Amino acid sequence: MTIISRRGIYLPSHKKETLRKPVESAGMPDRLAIPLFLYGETDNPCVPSVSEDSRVRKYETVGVFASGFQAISPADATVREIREIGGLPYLILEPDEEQQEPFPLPALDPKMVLENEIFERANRAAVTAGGRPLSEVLDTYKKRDVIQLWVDAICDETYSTASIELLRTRGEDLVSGLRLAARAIGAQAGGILISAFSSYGLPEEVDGLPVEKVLGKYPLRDRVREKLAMTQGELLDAGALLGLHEAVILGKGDVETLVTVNGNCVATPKNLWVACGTPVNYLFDVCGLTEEPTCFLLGDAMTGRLADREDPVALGTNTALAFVTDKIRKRACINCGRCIERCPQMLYPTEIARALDAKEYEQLLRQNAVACTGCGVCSYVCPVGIDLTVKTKRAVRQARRLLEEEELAKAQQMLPNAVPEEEPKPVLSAFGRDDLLDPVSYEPEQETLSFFTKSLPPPKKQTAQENKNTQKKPSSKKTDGKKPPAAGKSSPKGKPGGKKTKKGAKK
Amino acid sequence: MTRTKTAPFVRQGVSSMAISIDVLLAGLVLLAMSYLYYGWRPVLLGLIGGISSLAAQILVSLLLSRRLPARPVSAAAYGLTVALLLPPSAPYWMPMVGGVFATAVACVPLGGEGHSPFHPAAAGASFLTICFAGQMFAYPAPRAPMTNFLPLGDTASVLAGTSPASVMKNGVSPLTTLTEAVTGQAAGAIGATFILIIAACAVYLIARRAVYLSSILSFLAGIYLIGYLWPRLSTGPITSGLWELLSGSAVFVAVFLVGDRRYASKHFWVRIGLGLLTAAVCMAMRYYGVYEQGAFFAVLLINAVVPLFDRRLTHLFEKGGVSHAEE
Ligand code: SF4
Ligand code: SF4
Repeated sequence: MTIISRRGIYLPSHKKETLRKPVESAGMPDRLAIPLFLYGETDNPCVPSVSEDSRVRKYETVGVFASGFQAISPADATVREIREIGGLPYLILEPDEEQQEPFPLPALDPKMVLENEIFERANRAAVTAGGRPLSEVLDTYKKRDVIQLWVDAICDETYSTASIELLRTRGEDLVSGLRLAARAIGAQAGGILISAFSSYGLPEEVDGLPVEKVLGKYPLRDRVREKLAMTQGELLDAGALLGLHEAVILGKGDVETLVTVNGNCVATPKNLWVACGTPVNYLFDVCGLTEEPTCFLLGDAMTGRLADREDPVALGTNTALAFVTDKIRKRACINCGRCIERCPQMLYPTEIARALDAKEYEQLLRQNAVACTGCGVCSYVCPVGIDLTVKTKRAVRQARRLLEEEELAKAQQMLPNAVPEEEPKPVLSAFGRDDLLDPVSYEPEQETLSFFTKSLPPPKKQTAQENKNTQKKPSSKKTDGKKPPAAGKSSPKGKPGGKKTKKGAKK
Repeated sequence: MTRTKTAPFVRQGVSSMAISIDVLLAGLVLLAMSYLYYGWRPVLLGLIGGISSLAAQILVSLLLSRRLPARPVSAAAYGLTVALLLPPSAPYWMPMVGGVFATAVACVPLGGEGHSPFHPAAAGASFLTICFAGQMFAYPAPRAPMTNFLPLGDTASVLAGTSPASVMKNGVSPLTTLTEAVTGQAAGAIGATFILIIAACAVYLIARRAVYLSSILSFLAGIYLIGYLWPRLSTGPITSGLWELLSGSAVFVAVFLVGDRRYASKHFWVRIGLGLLTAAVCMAMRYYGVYEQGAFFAVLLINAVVPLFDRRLTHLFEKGGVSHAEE
């Protein structure tokens, strides 16, 4: 076991609610929203390759990104429309009631497969890692001369257990994916990394590769990355590696993701296989609710983001949470220094926030604000509930901008006649959502704080029509008469009886 | 557990009374101890200090921002701290004046809790010392617990005592034994003579992350070291150092003022350095000043330089994003 200590925090854990429980399929909702953008890419717009009312088969290409990466259909479906959800463009599909067996791509021999074939297959099967095409991530690692790759099954936040369950149920496939990724970049497959706190019942090794336990405070993943970087090692997301294994060995597209569904009003927290594009409220209909949530989160409690009930689950999303909350007054800083003491990056968050407010941008650079990882520790420990992370994330962007300007000025000094190349316009900019381009920068304006309690303000406003839609949504046509319970009602067994195409079932 | 509209959506525990409530509780324990020795009078003084400070905060907040204060407990804690630095026989108006000064002059108008340039309680105590030095150091004679309580009314007939600090100011060894000095049987301020209880309060406050151990220890180490190196007593450097520690409210000031994390530097080595500097200033005042003790003046002076270190010079001590010796 590797022990990593340094600043940071021990987070409360709600993992046992979903750990070592059977992994289920969420089934198919009656609407899927395929994003025509990539969260991690600023200049990669996607043009749909299908027209309205056309029929698509599972794994069929429905859009092509500027980079050549493809968006594929998670189901046999009819194309309905292009619609904006939360200001972002999505292709709306209506899945068929009866799902046919998909046509997989030809399987490749893992021993004979060539490096470029792995890259091509990852692109064709739309495998993503951290919101970017896996092929691009691997290419970056190759350029950085990464010599060892590890599976990232470190669930270091409060709720997510998806990667641990992937290891438990699909360990050999993860290792196969890791070996393929390592082969693609000429690196060595290191093994699987897990948090020591969630290691109970997991094997010591899988298919000849060690399962290494790491013990330390949140953000453990960042620490592990730092350590690995010292020996030119890197982590790769477990879900992406499973996608790579399925793409190369089984010829399947990466269209499903394992999601931990939990929260303080979820009746039966579960790990569910979810088709990409499934609306978030559908997952809570499957798991049941003890009362109407006031907020949904996509991502875990420390780094996730607020979602509308209609927001679709993207590939790589491994946690969906629902909470009942209460609002309180915002307080002023008392200068206790806990945020400074705990910041894992040894930053001075209050001074960074002050410098940002006072527009003392040089001070941001002196304080090395760019080193902020947006981990949220400073906000978590603040005894008066100040949202410092909002400010420090903004400061990161401001500091980066300053550094870029400085570099540009330097370059112009060296080449006074050089004309800067025009940047391609990011697709999200067209929708006025630059804040979503960089996951670190996503920060809706915030006025109030809320507590996880039961006495709650009314849920987010919805139009009567939206409400009607929401209630109707999960009652999929393929439920064989068994409709999932409506939101707000407890349902331990509540899950749609739609045709299931889960990954677990593929094995 | 809390949630905001942005990540993180969980919180460690949010309270509008963070730190202040712990200081207040520790102060109340000292007040209870003082009751055992002196009766209700010190308890009333403490309550007057806390309540008048609280009232002043409400009034000033209404005048300045037309809103009720968000954290009234902090003001009560400052007022109580000032009262704990007064003699048990002090007149009732003294904690009132000190508490009101601490909050209405030294805290709310100058930035509020944690952001005013000086620790409000240190400011209140210094103000009283400068204006009413006679009453500030007029301690009653020490007494055994639950025997001879102070009168609630006129204290003119109360037998005056001599505090170890005032004796030492004249270069004479205190008559009190060290055991008496740590168990509250020496003449001194309401909260400052129960050294053992203050130590217990320090453990509580450290556990609650309300004070910095590094600040407390560096300040006390500095006092002892200077007392040891330049002894005022003829009994030798060790006893001299010890008496410097146990007299002049040094331990109380270390825990409640020097250690207060809202007013201390946020950098370990700066805290150590400033703790030693505070001790040096405090000892210089004891050796060369007009008053028998100068701990709260020293705190005031050093408070003023903390923002310089923390704001302008932080990047010299720590550089975010790089590996650190702590690992
Ligand atoms: S969000 Fe940034 S400033 Fe806050 S604790 Fe994390 S790294 Fe430090
Ligand atoms: S933890 Fe909160 S109250 Fe304490 S210094 Fe940081 S921002 Fe201020």
